[in-house]
Amino acid sequence: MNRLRILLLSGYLLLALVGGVVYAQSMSNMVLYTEAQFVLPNSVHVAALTIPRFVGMGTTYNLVCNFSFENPSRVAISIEHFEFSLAINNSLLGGSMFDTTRLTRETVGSAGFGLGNLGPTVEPGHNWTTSFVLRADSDSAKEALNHTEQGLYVVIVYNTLLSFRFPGSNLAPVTVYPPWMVEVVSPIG
Amino acid sequence: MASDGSRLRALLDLVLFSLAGALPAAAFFIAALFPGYSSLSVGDAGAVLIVAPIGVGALLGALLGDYDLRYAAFAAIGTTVFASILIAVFIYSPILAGVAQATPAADPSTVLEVYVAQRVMLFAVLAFPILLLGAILGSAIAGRIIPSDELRKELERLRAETREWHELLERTAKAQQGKTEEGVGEKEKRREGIDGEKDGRKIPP
Repeated sequence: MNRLRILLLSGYLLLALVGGVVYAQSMSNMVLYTEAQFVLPNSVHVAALTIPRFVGMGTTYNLVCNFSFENPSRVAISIEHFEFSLAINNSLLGGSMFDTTRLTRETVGSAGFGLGNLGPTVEPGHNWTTSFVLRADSDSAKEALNHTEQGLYVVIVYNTLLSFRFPGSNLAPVTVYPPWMVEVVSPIG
Repeated sequence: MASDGSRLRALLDLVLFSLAGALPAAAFFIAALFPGYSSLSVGDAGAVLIVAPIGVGALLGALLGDYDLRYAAFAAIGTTVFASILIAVFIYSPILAGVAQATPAADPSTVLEVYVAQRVMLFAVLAFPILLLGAILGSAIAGRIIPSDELRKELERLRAETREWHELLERTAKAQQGKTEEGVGEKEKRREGIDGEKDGRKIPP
């Protein structure tokens, strides 16, 4: 075998090696992405929701909302973004909307919401729990909550959106929408 | 007539080189068509779909330059088949890994098998002619610049034979020249003798 042929063969094998690595990495990313879309959304839970007692007009209400998230995937993930909407379905008021709350890593703090650890790395098989204190100070929220003394109300958590990152990977964040709508029937106070 | 051993070696080379070529061909196709999943960021997907198969094909053809041109064509077919299998495995990987299930499709166009078949067909239609062209070009170029061991030996044998012929010709020419010179000397001597007799001189023998 002459030198040029050896060079050619080395180049070809190097190309095959690079191709193999890129192919394996792409396949692994494909599995991770699909897993994030199919498996992870089902592992978001609302642990508890506390609705404060009616204290009268003009008061600012704090709603405590506990979320827990299990990571059943085989890789560590980092929570990039978490967002949900909340409503009190008051049948007497014809289903008035309480508030739409947007929580992100960037807006938390400045928006006045207390927040647990958003954005940690969750190892495979581990849980992440966070607690949000939502301050309801909009007029519509106050009006809705002022009627809560009249009985039981259904608190609905909906439009939940969760974005993940895979640490150590160059994949773009995966955004998932848990396919459920939580209904919490809760007495006031 | 090629022996069974050399035929088997040719077949093994063909399969191994095709398999090795299928990896970059499939990886570049995935990088172009599924950029979100690939760690290789390619700028222009169209250019990659043309340049990658022609490069792989040319190298493949050059490496198979020892064999008949038909082997380069078979290698292009083999590379296309192996790469198609790799692309299908890539699309099916979440199902194979058990993280997702193929749900019943609402309409025939969204059936997973149809989706996979479309991608594989697209790859085969785009990549095969370019791979084939690259393989034939590579084989032809390699045949010129990197002759095979057998061809090199044959060329060396021919060169040695030609050199021998040249030497033989040179020797023959020299011998003929020597004879000619000898003949000219004798003629001159003979002519001088005739001239001496005419003048009344005796030329000693």
